[in-house]
Amino acid sequence: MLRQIGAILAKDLAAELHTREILSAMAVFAITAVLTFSFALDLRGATGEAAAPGVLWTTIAFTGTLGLSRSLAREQESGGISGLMLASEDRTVIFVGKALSNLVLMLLLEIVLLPLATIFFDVNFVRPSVVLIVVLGTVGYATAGTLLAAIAVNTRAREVMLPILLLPLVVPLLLGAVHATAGLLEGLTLAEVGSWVQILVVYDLLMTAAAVATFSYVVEA
Amino acid sequence: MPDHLTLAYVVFCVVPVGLAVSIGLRQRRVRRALEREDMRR
Amino acid sequence: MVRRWWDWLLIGLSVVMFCAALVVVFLYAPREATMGDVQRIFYFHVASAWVGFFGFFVTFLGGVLYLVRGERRWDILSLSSAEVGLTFITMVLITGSLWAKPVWGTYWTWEPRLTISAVQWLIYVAYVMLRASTVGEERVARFSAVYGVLAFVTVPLSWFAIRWWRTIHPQVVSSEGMALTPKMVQTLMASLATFTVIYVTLLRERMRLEQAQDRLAALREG
Repeated sequence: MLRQIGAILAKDLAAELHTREILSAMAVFAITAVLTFSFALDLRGATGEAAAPGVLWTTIAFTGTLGLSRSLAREQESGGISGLMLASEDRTVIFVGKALSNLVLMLLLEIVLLPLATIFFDVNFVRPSVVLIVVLGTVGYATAGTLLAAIAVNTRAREVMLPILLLPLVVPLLLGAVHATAGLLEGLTLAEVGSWVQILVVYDLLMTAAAVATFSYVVEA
Repeated sequence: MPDHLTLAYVVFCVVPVGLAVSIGLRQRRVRRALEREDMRR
Repeated sequence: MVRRWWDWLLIGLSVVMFCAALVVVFLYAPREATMGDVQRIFYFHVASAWVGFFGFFVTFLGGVLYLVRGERRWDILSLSSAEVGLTFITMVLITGSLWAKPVWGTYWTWEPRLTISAVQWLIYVAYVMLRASTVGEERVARFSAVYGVLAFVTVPLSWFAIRWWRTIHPQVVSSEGMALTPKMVQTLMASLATFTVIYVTLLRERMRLEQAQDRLAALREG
């Protein structure tokens, strides 16, 4: 089973790395988003530092919908999911494979985004504790996002549907991630932002369970 | 401009009644369509 | 589907209880010390919030049962509860703002219950939009059931997150500060009972509408 997941993951990543289409779109969008926030909210100096965690996570949230939509739309265009279903009977495997590839996509984006935000807002995002928060938040987001994107892509509104469906569901992630990040930037330890980390972990576990349980109903023929 | 308390209770009255009326009107429309269907047969 | 006697009983009860509740709220409940009469909004406002959340739960339940059993009637339960629940949550948001303005000087407060209601409202709306945007009756039912399940799972977490958020940014703005006398508690219970009955009535009528539409569609096809 792990091998099958690995196969799906490898195929997706190979396809993406070949064109780097989605990744570059996400990166450019993310940078534009950060700039837009900075202009619109006048995030210079101390204001910027205070707003930095929020801007980071909002950017991740919006850029994520872009990547997720494109990733699943591309899958649909190439008749992907039906092909996958022939290859592997187990829907769980398909879901985990897709979710992981979306997760990796977002993590790659964040590898670019974190240093950029560090430079831009003059706060150090590039440290292990913050990276942990980013990973935890992104895992939950990618899980919920993959499932909802699979739904959205099959509606008339298509990609537009995804943010509408996804964003109300990631409220705990946003609150948890922003406050944990903010706390860590202020010099608190991971233990001290523990309650926020707890929310992230519980969310990741719950959402993974729920998504795995319901995915087969989404891709039913 | 009536005070907030009055406005709020107007909302509490109007909204459920509004939904009830909306459902009722839709029910009537379907009932009539059903009658027409029955007559056609 | 013809109305049975209990349907008429529900309708009658709704009307009677609503009028009675109004009397209780305005004549029986005491005038609150700090906020004055405008505080009376609290009773129906909180009742709406609880019923709105309950409607959300019923939508979730219907969704689970539909996925497991595949029967249309569970889907009908879900969509009906969503429509009625959305209405109640809308009232929560509007009346919450009307209450907030005179008491705290601002239309929107990030008070936990109000905020979680806003989140629920968005989820309900997303649910409705998803149904409108999906083609194929079976697919609509499946997709919205999955969404309903996923969404409901996140709500308790959102609630905790919002509460914690509010405790680190405490503001004077909170209804937690209100001391409830026995009479106020009774009024609140009366309001809650009334709104629950109204919810059930509207739910039942909305389900009847959907069942009738199904029959019409079947006749037209067959």
